[in-house]
Amino acid sequence: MTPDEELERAMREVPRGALALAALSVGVLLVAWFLVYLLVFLPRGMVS
Amino acid sequence: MALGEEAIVRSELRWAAVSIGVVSVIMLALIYAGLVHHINPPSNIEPIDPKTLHLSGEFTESNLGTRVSADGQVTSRIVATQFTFQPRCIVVPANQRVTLRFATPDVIHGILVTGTNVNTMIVPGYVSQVHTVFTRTGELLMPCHEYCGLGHSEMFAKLRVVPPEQFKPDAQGRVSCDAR
Repeated sequence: MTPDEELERAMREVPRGALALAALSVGVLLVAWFLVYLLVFLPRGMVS
Repeated sequence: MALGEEAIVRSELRWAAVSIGVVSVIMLALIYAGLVHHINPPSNIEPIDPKTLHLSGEFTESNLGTRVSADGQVTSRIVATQFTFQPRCIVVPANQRVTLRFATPDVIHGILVTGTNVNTMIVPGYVSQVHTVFTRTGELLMPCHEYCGLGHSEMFAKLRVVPPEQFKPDAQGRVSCDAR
């Protein structure tokens, strides 16, 4: 396999893995944000 | 075959949509907290002369602490100074709207009350004001959270939240920790 073909083969999979990792990271961050929002921020009550 | 340029642009556009969606959802959640639960950042802009605040006006020593006005409004006035709060203990009633007013004659301080959303900066030249309702009784710690000098770590006060039936103002409408 030439280096070009090897690169081609690697690039076929890499973007999918990167997208899955990014989606998981954003998902976990969003869930954590809403857990703090619902379980800590709102119950602490009004302030202005 | 590797992803072509068109496919990459498509996935980037999808990500842009996801990012806008996430920011929009968070903004909506914050607007909901503000409108329905009345959780808003304190935004009082009220100048005061830091050089004379201890000599005249509402932040003189005799006027500090908690006071109930004729219309039943509970207001606590506190001076934050290097490296203490005056007074160091404040009594407030539970389940009742309370106004906390802070001023400083020296440098920038900040306060938070543990376990609540009360959190504000105290900037020389301005009165910081926070309205809140304390729902849990007990002693809450109120530390300075803005580094204000070498004694910063020793700078804290206590907020004593008492049940409404134990909150008894004297003839002048004042309530202090010593009176209990």
